[in-house]
Order: sequence, then structure tokens, then C-alpha cells
Amino acid sequence: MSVFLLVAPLFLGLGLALVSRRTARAAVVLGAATTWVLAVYALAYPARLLFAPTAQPWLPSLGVSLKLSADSAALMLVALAATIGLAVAALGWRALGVHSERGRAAVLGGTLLAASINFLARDAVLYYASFEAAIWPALVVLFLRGHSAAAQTGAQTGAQPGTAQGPKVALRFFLYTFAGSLCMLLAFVYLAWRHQALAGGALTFDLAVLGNTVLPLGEARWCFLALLAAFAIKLPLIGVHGWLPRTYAEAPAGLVALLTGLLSKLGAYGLFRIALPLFPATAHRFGPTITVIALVGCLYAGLCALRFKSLRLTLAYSSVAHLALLPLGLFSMEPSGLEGFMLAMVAHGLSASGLFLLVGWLEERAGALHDGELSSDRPWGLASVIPRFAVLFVAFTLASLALPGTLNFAGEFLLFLGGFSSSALHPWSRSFVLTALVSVVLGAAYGLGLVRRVLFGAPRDGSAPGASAPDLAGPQAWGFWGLFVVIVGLGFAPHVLQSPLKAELSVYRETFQSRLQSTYLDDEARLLARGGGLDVR
Amino acid sequence: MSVELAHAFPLIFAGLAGLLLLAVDMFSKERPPLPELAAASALVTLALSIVVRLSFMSATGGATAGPGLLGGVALSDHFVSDNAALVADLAIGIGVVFAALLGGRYLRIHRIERGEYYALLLFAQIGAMVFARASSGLGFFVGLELMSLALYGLVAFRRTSVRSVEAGLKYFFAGSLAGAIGLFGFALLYVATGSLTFAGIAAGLTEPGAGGVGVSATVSVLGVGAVLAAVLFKLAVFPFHAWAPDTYEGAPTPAVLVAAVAVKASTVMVLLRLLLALGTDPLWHTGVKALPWALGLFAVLALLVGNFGAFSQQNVKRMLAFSSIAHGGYLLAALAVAALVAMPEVLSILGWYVVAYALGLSLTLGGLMALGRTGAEPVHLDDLRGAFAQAPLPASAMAVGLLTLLGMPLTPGFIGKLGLIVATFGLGSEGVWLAVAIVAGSVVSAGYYLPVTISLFRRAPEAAREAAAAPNASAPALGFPRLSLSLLAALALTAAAGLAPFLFSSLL
Repeated sequence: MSVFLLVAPLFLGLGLALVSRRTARAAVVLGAATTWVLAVYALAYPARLLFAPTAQPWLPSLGVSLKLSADSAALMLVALAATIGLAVAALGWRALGVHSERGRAAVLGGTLLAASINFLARDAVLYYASFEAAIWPALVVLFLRGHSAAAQTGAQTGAQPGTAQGPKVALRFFLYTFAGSLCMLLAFVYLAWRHQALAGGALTFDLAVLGNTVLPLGEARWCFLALLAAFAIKLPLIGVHGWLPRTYAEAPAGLVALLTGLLSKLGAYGLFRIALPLFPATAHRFGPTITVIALVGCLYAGLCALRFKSLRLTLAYSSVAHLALLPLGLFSMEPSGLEGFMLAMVAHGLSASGLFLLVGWLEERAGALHDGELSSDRPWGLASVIPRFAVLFVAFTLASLALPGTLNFAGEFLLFLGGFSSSALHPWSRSFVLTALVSVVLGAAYGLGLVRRVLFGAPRDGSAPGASAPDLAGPQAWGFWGLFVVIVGLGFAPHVLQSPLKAELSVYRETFQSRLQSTYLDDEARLLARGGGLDVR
Repeated sequence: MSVELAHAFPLIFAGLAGLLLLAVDMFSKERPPLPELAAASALVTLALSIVVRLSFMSATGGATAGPGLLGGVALSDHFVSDNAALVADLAIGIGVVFAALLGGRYLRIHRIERGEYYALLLFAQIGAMVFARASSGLGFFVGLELMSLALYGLVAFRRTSVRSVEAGLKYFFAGSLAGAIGLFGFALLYVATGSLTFAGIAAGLTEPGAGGVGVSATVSVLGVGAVLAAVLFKLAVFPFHAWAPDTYEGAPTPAVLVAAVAVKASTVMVLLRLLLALGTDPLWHTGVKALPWALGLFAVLALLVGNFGAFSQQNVKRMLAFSSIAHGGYLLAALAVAALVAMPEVLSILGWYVVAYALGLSLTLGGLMALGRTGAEPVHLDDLRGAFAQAPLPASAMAVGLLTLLGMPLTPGFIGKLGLIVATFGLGSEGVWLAVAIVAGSVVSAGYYLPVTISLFRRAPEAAREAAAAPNASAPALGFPRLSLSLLAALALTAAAGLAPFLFSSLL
């Protein structure tokens, strides 16, 4: 069977959704559910339902093909995408920030389709195109909303429309991501061109073929940094996270659930799938630096989360802090670290999108579209008003803090274990882990602080958001509980996710190590041939 | 029947059809369906040229059939029917067909509906096709003038509008000056080398004194410089771009479409042929490769002027004028590389770029024309607000067109940009700087394409909504099945080219 079958349901669902207004939501849900079933089945029974890699020539004159291949890591992330898609469709449909049904279906379906193709893509141009296309739906919503929000606040305050933050937020988000992805495109084209120059033959963008090209370290460094720019912005690493806080604060909650749950994974997965295999030696050299930057960012984001009183900003920075742990596991190149990397991605996707969907529900009940109304340093005391919501909010917050028993704990524990036992990363890698542990303490501080502010304390009379509205109940509450059960269930049985990954990740490690060796040998030989040998840049 | 005659068929048909159209318009009592007739004959011309290309390729087996990179059958000393010309025909044909189909309503609501418009369109098509086939100084001048004369008429077609007449005058002066400079350049080259054909000029330049009368190298440098200046004038590339914004703003919108697409496609292909003939280092033989580097420099300057000039424009047509300066720069960057290394992919790359440009501009300007009301054109950014709510099809067409011009993935424009970036690396590591310039230009260009795209989907301002809701308001209803069908066709073609380019791999 071809991998195209895996994304075909999403494609069909999107197409059907655009046909009719009434069935739009059902079509997207059906597409996501089918893809979920296929992906999970393929994960569970890899021998029985094998999605064979496929390649369809796309632009023969430039050697671009539609090459897709599904291994366990990709399948797991496709399943995660489908899960998040289903969750958003069920729990945050109205929080997607679009008024029309078809518009919502297009935003959700388009994002899911592009992200899934990105996880499966094995051609550099296809990868770039889907990387780019994945943020387009969110971007369009942000631009349109930005304008209308700006017009609204302008009308309310009597200020000039356009002076408000709205369009600027969207533009900043766009410029960051677009500049990053174009760097990636340049690196791909440069690599393809160098491959052609070194190996001869036709131009090709097949990542498997490009991976065999060994560039001199000087060139590989620039290419790696260009790729890193794209992935670091999407993840985001600290320093290039400037687009994130305002975007998470102003975007509709359903959209933020997609952004943090799904689209941040594109960055992490890109490091794993593209940057490291293509440039192992450079990645090895830069690994400790990137890890340190990420960990410093982790602490910084933790402190920011502690400092900000706004619900959304706290959650945004907490998301940054947890994602910043991922490079530790990846660059450790230990089995546990790599497994932790994958598990933590899945766990973060589930818990962070769940949290933002809860925020979306709360905002809708409170009738508050703007974060300003949900930020206060005085307690809201929601626990006594809407207790069911309070229980769920505590549950998801604890999950995102990696409480033992949740998948987040399994993931982060493996990350730390990998970093601790790694010999490849850095002689000081144990102190890296200690730094990361500090961030766990910080996490507890801001997470529990958030729970205290939002749920407990004396409510201000009638002014607590959602005070007069009914509690979370019915199918929606069951939906949230279902998502939480998945997190806890996988937390108790993480081997369900680990076992399909084991063989593949060990191959990944071995390939990385052997290519690392050969690159260094190759480079040394080149230096010797040049008569230098001393010129070690 | 000789092979040459088969290659001349598209030209012969286009010329006869244009004359026939004039006659039909003159002698018919009732108003004949001129847009359809013109579009049909332009389509047949296009189809003939495609048939010629395909049979040409199957006969000689491969995209680079014939001698050299471009292949080709000489029609005379002065014209050649090669792959470059036939690829240019694609873009020219697309532009003319959509200008005919989409322009009918524009002419009617601006009360300038006359049959000459359609005849001029067909004459512009044949002129551009002849120009794209030029392989000598003579062919260059004849083709350039044949194309430009028809375009002068089209640009000044709204005689009652001062802006249109101004646009026509500016276009005429700039264009005829460019023609004269080009002619002067070829005259100097004739003095230096004793030949008018590209091949003869190249031979004369590589062997000084071989066919010439022994004049100094300065003459040949001046000659090449003057020819390049003429070409840069036509491409509206810095520093010869000043005529473009006023011309685009004042000219009737369908005329802008033809003027931009046909001129770009044909000029680029002529320049490609000339540069490939001249080789990398024709003038000084010092290994400096001055020609490619000069082209690269002009390309970067055009990117700067075009992209930053477009940034602050509130008028969509002016914005498109500046963006066309930038597109000229992108094309010139690829040409600079073609001049340096005869890259086998260069024809496909340039072909994709001009075809994507033709599709993008057809959709953008077609949508703009379809959104117009009687006597008014929504060229201001604020006029376009709420367009999607009122008229979804034209607004979507315009949005897709703008994204194509920007070079978004999933549109043919992306394939064009990708090809250009690939091409710049033909220079080797030095090409990185051209590639970075192209990429940076694309980022900046998003800053002016996206706001227009977004404003189509925004809510209309209060006043406009009230005006639209008023009982006597004339909604911009399409009214013409021709218009919506041709917009749909353009959308379908763009989607097919962007999503499944392998369908067109035998053409491009």
C-alpha cells in the first residue's frame, strides 16, 4: 500500500468539507479519524499493513518528486496530528477564530494535511512546501482577525484603527517563520547543487540521496545554521521566540492549540529528521551549544511564566520551557534520550493543546475574546463556581508539569536519563541535566501558582470570568476526560509508544555515528590532501 | 512541405487571423462576438506553436533537440524557431487569451469597446512571437517594433482619459528610444564585427578583426552596452524603469496584462539567445566575465528598486508596476547565470518563471477587471476591502494570482522561484549572493502582496457596505458567463501547474 493512502482521507475530508456548509465539520472529523486509525494500525502491526514508500516525479526538470515514506516516528506524529485535530474539532471548533463552518474546516483540515505531509515527506522541496503550507491557515486567520480586532478596539477606545496590536502580531509571526523557512530552502538548494557538483548526474532533492553528500565542514556549517534557523524559529528556541508571546496571547484559543500542539512539533521533528541526518558532524559540533541555549531558554521561559499574571502568557511560556528540553534528548544520541524526545513531543502535543482548549472554553463562557480580561493578579476563585472545569484544569496542568503517571513524566524522565548517560553530548552533560531539573522546580512553581490564581481564593463578586455561566458538562467534558485518559494511559504504559520506535531509533543512532566517523575521516583526508592539515577551522 | 514552413505556420496564422478580425469587425452589421473570436484565434496560434514544439521534439528526440542548448530551425538569417521561442509563445499566448476573454467587460464598462482592440491584441501576439524568434540585429529591431506598435495603441486605448494618453505617450517615448538605442547598438556591432546575426557577432567578437574593419574594442563594448540598455528598457529594469509605474497606472488593465507578459516573455528569450551566442566573456577576453556580473548587478538593483518601491504603493496597478520591475530583476539574475554557464535546465527554469508570471498576472488583473463597476476600477487598497464577500470568484482569482506572483508553495510561482534559486547556484559559491538577493526580495515582496490579498477578505468599510446595500447600487455582478468561465479556467490551469507540474513536463 502506498503512503498516499495515509494522507488521502485528510485530503478527501478537506475537499468534502469545502463542498457543503452543513457537513464541513463531519467531513474533517471523518478524515482525521480515518487517518488516525490507519496510522495507529500501521504502528501496532507494522508487518501487516506496510505503507510502502512512494515517489511520484513532480518536477522532473529539477529533480523534485513527491516522495513520502512512513516509519514509526512519522506515523506516531501523524497519529498525534490526527488526535489533536479530532480534539480541536470536538472541543474547540468555535474557538478557531473563523465565523463560517467551511472556513473552520479549511483551517483545521489544511493544517492537519500539511503537517502530516511534512512528517512523511522525504523530498527536500516537498518538505519545504509542507513546512510552509502548515502555517498558512493559521496565518490567514491571524491576519483577518488582527484587522477586525484592531478595528474593534479602535472603535471602542476611539483610537485610530490599525494602531492596535492585531495586524502587527500577524505580520511579526509571518516574517519570523517566512524568513526562517527561506533560509531552509536556500540550504536545500545549495546542498542539491553541491551534490550534483560532487557526485555528478542530475539534480535531485531526494533527502535520502542528499544525505550521502559530505560537504566540507565550512559549507556544512552554514547549511546547518540555515536549517537550524527555520527549526529554531518554529520550535521556538529562546532568542528567536519573539513571535510567540503576542501570537499566543491574541490568537483564538483553538488556533493556539494547533500552533503549540502540532506546529511546534514541525520544528523539533525537523531537527530530528532533516538537520541531524544531513549534517551529522556539524550537528555533533553544535549540539552542546544548542542544548545550552535551549536550557538557558528553558530557565528564562520558566521565570517569565512565573512573572506573568496573564493566563495565556503563562501557558505560552510554559510551553516554550517544556519544548526547550527536547534538544537535550536529541543531541544526547542515547536510546533513552531519543525515545524521550519522541515521547515528550507526543505528550506535550496532547497536554498543551488540551490546556489551550480548556482556556478556549473558559473564554467562550466568559464572553471574553481578549486576554486582558483574563489576566489579573487577583484570584478568580473559579473552583467554587465551575468545579468540573476546575478539576480538568488541575489535571491538565499537572500533566503538563510532568507529574509521575502521565506521559509527560515518561518523556521528560527519558530525556533527562539520556542527557545524564550521554557520552556523545558533552563532558558536562550531567550539569545540563541539573539545569533542566531546576526548570522542573520552576515548572511546579508557575503551574501551581497558575492553578491557585485561577481556581482558588476569594472570587470577586460576579466578576470572575464565567461566573454566571454553566459548568463544563456533557459530551465536551467527556471529550476532555478522554484526552486526559490517553495522557495517563500512555503514561502508565509508555512502552506502547517505545516498542515500535526502538529498532528504528537504534538504526538512526548507528547511521548518525557511522556518518559522523566517515565525515571526520573524509574531512581530515581532504585537509591532508590540501597539504594543510594544520588548518582546522 | 519544408520544415521551415511548418515552423512559420503559427506566425502566418496569427497574422492572417488579426487581419481577418479587422475585416469582420468592419463589415459585420451586428456586433460580432469579438472577444471569443480573438481568444479562439490566439488559442489556435498557441496550439499550433505547441504542436510544432512537440513534433519538433519527438522528431529530434529530446528537449534540447537541434544544435546548441536551444536547438532550433532557422527561418532565415534573422529569425529562428527554437525551444526558447516556443516556450515564450506559451506565456504570450496565455496573456493574450486572457486579455481577450477578460477584457471585454472592462472595455464595455469603460465605454471603449471597439473592434480594433482585439485586432491590436492579435498583432501584439504576433509581434511578440516574431521578437522572441529574433536571431539577428535586424530581426531584433523588426520584432521589437512590431510588438511595440501594437502595444502603444493598446496602452493609449482610452483616448478620453488623460491618464491613459499620458501612459501611452510615456510608453511610446521610452519604447521608441529603447528601439533606437538597440538599433544603434547593433549598428556599432556591425561596424565592429561585420555581421548582423547573433552568431556572426559572437564570432566577430571572439576573434577581433576576423570579419570587422579593425575598429577599437570600445566600439564593440558600446554596441553590446547599447543593446543591453534596450533590453533593460523593455524589461523595465533599473535604471531604465521610470516609465513603468505611470504606464501601468494609466493604461487600460487588459493592456497592462499583455504589455507586461508578452514583453517580458519575448525579451527574456531573445536575451537568452543572444547571451548564449555571445558566450561568457565576449568583450575583453580577460576572464573577468564582465557581462554576467553587470547583469547580476542590474538584477540586484532592480530587486531593490522594485520591491522597496512597491512597498509603499496604495494603488494596486502601480504596485504591480514596481513588482514587475522586481520580476525583471529575478529573471535577469537567472540570465546572468545562463550567460556564464550554459546550464541545461535554464530554458525550463525561465520558461516556468514566465509562464507562472503570465498566469499570476492574468488572475490578478482578471480579478481586478471583474471586480470593477461602471466607470470605476477598484485600484485602491481600500476599494478592494470586502471584495470576497461581494464577488467570491474574482476575489479568489485575484488572491491566487497575487500568491502566484509572490511565489507561494503550491502555486506555479513557487516552481519559478525555486528554479531561479537553483539557477543562481550555477555560478558556484558566488551564486549564493544572488540567491540570497532573490530570497530577500521574496520576503520583502510578501510585505506588499499579502496586504492586498488580505484586504480582499476583510470586511468592507461601513460606507461601501451601505452603498452596496442601497437599492440602486450596481453590484459588481459578473453577468457574463464568459468572464466567470475564463476566470475558472485560469484558476484551474494555475492549480494544475502548481500542484501537478509533471503534467507539463513535455512543454517546459
